[in-house]
Amino acid sequence: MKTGLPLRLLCTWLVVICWVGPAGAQEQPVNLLPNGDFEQVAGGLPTGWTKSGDGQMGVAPGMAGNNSLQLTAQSLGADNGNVWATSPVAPVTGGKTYLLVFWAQGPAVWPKGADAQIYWNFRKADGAGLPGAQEYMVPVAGSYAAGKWQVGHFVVRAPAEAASVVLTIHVVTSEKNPATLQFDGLRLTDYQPPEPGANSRFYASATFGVGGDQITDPQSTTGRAWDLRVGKHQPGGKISGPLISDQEPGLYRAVLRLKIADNTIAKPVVVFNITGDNLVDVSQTAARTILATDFARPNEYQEFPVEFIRSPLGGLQYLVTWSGITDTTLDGVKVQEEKLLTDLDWVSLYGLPQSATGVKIGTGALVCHGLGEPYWHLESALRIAGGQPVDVRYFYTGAGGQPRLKPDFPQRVADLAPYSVVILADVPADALGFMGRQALRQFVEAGGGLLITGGYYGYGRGGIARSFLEDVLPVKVTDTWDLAATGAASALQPAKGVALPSNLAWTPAPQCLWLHRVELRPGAKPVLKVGDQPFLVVGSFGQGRVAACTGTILGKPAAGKQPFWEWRDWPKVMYAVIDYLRRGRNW
Amino acid sequence: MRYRLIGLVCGLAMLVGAGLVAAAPPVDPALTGYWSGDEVSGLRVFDASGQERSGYRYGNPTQVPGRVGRALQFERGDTVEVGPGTGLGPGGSFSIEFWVLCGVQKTNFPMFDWGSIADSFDLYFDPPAGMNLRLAGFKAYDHVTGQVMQPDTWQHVVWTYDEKLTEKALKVYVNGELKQSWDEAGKLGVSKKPLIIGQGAALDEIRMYKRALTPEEIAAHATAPEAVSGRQVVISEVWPAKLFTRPGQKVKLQVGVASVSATPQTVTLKAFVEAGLGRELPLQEAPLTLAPGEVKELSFDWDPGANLYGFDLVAELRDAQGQLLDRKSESFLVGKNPYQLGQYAGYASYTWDQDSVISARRHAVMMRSHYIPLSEYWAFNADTFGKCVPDTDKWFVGSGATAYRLDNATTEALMTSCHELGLGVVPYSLSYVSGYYGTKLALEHPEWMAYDRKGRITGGVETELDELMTRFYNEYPGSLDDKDLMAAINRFPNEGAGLQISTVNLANRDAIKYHAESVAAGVQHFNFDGLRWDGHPQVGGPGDPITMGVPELFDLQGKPLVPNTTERDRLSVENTRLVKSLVLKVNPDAVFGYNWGLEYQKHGRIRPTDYAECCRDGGTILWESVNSIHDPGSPWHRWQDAADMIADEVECPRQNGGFLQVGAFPWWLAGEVYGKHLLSAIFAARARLFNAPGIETNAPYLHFAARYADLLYDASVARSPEWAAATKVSSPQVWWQKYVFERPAPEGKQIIVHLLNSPASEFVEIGSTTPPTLLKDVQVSFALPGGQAPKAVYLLSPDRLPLRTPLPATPQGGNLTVTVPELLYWDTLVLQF
Repeated sequence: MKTGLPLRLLCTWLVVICWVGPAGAQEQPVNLLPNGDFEQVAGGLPTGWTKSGDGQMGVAPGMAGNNSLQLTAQSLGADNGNVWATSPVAPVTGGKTYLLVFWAQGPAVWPKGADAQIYWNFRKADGAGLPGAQEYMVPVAGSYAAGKWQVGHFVVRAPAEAASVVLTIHVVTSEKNPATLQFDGLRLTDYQPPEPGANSRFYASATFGVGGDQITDPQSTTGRAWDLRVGKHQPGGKISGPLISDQEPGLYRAVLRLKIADNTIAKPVVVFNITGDNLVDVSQTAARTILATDFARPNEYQEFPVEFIRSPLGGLQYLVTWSGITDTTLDGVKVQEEKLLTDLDWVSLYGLPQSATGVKIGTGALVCHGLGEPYWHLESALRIAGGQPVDVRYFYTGAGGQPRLKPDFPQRVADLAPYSVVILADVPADALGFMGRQALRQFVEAGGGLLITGGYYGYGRGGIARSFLEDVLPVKVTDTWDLAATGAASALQPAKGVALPSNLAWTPAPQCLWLHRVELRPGAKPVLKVGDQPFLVVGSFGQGRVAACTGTILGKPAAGKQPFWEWRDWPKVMYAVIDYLRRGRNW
Repeated sequence: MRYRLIGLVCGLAMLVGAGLVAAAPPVDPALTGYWSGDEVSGLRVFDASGQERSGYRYGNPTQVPGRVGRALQFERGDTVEVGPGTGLGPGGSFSIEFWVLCGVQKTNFPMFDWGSIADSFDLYFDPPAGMNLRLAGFKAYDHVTGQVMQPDTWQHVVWTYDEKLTEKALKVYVNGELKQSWDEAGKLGVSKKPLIIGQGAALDEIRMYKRALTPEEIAAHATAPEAVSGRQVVISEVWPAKLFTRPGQKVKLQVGVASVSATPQTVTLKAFVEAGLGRELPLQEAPLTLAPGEVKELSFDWDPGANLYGFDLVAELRDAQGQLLDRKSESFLVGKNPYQLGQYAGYASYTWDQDSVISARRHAVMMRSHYIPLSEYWAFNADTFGKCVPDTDKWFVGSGATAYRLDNATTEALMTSCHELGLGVVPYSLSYVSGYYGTKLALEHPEWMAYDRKGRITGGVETELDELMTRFYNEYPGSLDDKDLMAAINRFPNEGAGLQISTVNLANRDAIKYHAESVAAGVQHFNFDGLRWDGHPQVGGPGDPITMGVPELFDLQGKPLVPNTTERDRLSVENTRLVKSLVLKVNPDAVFGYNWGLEYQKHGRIRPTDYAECCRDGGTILWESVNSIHDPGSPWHRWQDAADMIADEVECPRQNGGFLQVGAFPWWLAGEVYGKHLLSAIFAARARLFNAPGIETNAPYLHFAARYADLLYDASVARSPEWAAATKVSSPQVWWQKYVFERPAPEGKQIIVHLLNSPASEFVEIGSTTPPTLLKDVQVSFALPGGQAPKAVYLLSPDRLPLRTPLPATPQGGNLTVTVPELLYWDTLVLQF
């Protein structure tokens, strides 16, 4: 570890759990890749790594630890400039599945004409390389690694004959301007996910494919299939599967079902990829090469499982590349859920620091606007409360419907230092991003304040479950469908024993028409209630305070009724909450 | 009717057949266009050259006394646009001749513009008294004259270019006198854009020639302009006031006759309506005497009675010897439902300024000139679900590529212009929540919304713009002057505010009731002629296209939204009927169009009752997914597959009393070849075209489909397997098997056989410039049942004029063989029994 990165200096590392171990068991998975963290350096070069190509290899400050691998490519003439860094040999067992986690960082402005990949090169026991098609390429896209360290992963099943693997990191550019990328934290581990549960979904090739012919096939799952014929269709053709966006982040198994005409050729028939859909923030891929001889019989459907991990961001797509050696019929892909992962599970999976120390807390406020945010009168409350700066983020859905904030929610806890309070006004936790959610958790843990409100994207619908915020809140989300009409008991009333500002006018009674039904966590304190339901609850997490308003601005009040957001004194309530979060008062 | 102009002078050869007269050659074979200013029929400005280059009036160019007969007076924004261009070029000699009364002008303006200097030429008036002919493809662009014009007198102007001259090849003459010349050389370019005439001054006797007029000719034209045309009396107007009229209403038909003679003239005018295959319904036949320069205008309130579909208003002028002097015609439509009669086009407004008002009026002219009876006002609803009468006179609608800005002024211009011209207007409607109003509604009624598996509203969200829009509407109209606010909104040119296309729980009875009342209020408020639903209030469920790709939908409590398909169908039809009934209360003539996502085989069957309700009483079913046949990924990328699929799909709505429209094709990518093959396949199948833009090469097809709408769209026109079995076509290149129909027409049974020439390429190439191979002497044989001979056989085609010609029809041995002399894209044989 080095100076200049105080957060990382002080971070603690979680003991990584083993996915297949019995519940509660924790084992340290062994990094099979020697010097994958680039901490061993000799002569300015990472030990065990070799360079080829006309570019430069060296070390630079690391994401974690002192060093990272730095590769620079530059085109000096008509040809592309290339640099390859080849890893030390890592032992593997044929037929087993392996997980590679890596970090990459490029310049803030991704250099034009530059590209980068990581290749897996499996070798036999005698050191001879396996056929070229047994290599897998991991794209390192500039879209997610520009100007920041970003994590990626790749799951591969080692070919049956494989005894070892070397990884080759490749940086290439067509431009004279040098393209410099850094890599760090390469961890190659044995990957054994749990067996799939009952949740699964079938995606038919015939519905989504291009590049072959749709045919009727009674043996297929849906009665239709996608057919590729030697001599008719182009070898190398790719069959694109659907965007897989309706699964929660977690561990999955994709089972490809296909049949071939000739199972006697010991050559690849298809390469099956689960790949990012260009919307993802992290590179997340898995692959498996299927040989013709892997089929027990010709002209009979056979299933080939591929393990993959869906990260907290982005969707996935399956892609089948056909070699053209024999007639092939694709049925489709069944995606089976193995385990949904919490944000904390991802910390383990990626080897991330869990908490932070030395976090500074400022005086300002960061207000994240959801739908109808002005109804909450936060601006007025913050004006009374004072404190600078008051910054704003807006909730929107980006490409592919992904919840986002603009500008992006701070991704490091240090970036939250100007604020004493963060407000999520009907903004889902997934809009903050994985790193943003972790930063917010660390912010509260270190003494920051958090106010969260209800609405269309609150609580059960807000991606709180399994997120970093789940145990930060003083209330427990019990159900996705937690939004309920208050009915006759819709008036807000102070909870017993809470000292609210004395100048609040409770007549006519402010009404809440829809709220989220939640459970109180131990230590949580209701401040306002609607009937017997908590409306405003406060609590603490680490050194920080958290207020959860389960109420929403949803609903149309009956004539003569006053909704709380039109209550003249509502801004005073909001002010009091902010004051509480800033430790100006106690409840 | 596009134009079937005859008769410039006595002595011209005339072909008369079945009441039709073929176009005669012009006096001067080099004359490519002649817009006299006398023959201005409604929007149409006739070309008297015989070259069929009629133009249309945009803005308000008016007829005024001219140097010969009448002229056209133009102000800024007034133009005549000639779709087929000038006929000049590429290269070669040319002349541009006209009379002009320029008046006092302070700024320059193009009197003529054919693709400007990017393509061909423009001719500017250059104040105070000069001109500038700008030529593409010549040594110099600019050719500026001296101060040669007089503001208050008619002047004769001729520009000539003689390619044979090596010096002084370009000349300009004023009043017969050579004023200036240039040592020019070059090749005049050809533009695909229309020739635009106008923008200022009064213009008369405009002629263009593919040769350089001689100084002697120019001097003669300048001194005796009346003699140039050789005409004495012309039909100046044949104009049905409205393109589309409902049964029971009288059709106002206008006919005008103008003298361009210096002496009194007596002629016989015969005016009639031509229905079907040449059935004449008389209006008037009487002698007329005209004083020099006199114009006589006649108006008829014609009762169509039981006659429906396409008609021609025809006027014929004969001299005392019975010699045909002039014949002009114009098509119009009579029917209950403009959806049923033909094609429709969309209009969208993107700005709140005079440009939108002008473009709305131009849209109406485009529709009328292309015989499109129905227009759709895109994204009309103020943010779709539940708000169809905006609170402000300017409002935002839509998101993404369909983000519009609408206002009352533009809406009124569109409605008024369309209704004056006899065109219907329907609003584009959605049953999804979007935008400021929609978001407000969703916040008030979470129980009305549908949710995905995560409990979230479907569609997109944009909160920053929603807050800006809230300010815009709350502070309206002051917000229009809030530069900071408007600048902030303008940073989101393609964004919707708040929720975007979010699915509503249409099983909720309160939601649909609110929506239905709102839709009916909008139709009433803006005087719409019906509705087009892109996502009518169908209740969605797994596997439905209407759920915008969301595999499962839930209500607010997480209960799956109507998983039972029968129940879904029941609720959907209830919704459809509710909206329909409320709209029909405020407009009993309202017509309805619906989207049904993918082809019927996939989705119409999911809700058979609702599908049937949508089709009932002439409902239109729009099928859009066929629009990407140019994409290799389309299942119908092969031309034959596309044509067959359309032909088969047509039957689904027809069986339920409705009809099929197909679209929206990417016309901005399309070439003429694609357009003609596609329109042939659509119209021959008896389908209609959705979203027809103003493409000139498509225009003859749209006109053909309007004029002969009865042969294509009459409900009684049904596929005839018996006649298909009895028919043989000599060329395997011809597609005809799916296009053999029988119609029990009022004048006797008709057998209709469409012959489609197969494209040059097997697969759809949208930009193809390769026309199909011209087929000659195609033999079509019929085994006549019982040996019964047809009374007549007609050959119809949009590929040539006249549209309809009779063919010999003499059976031999119980068989009839007819010969189609030339088949380019589409010919239709009609056997009239």
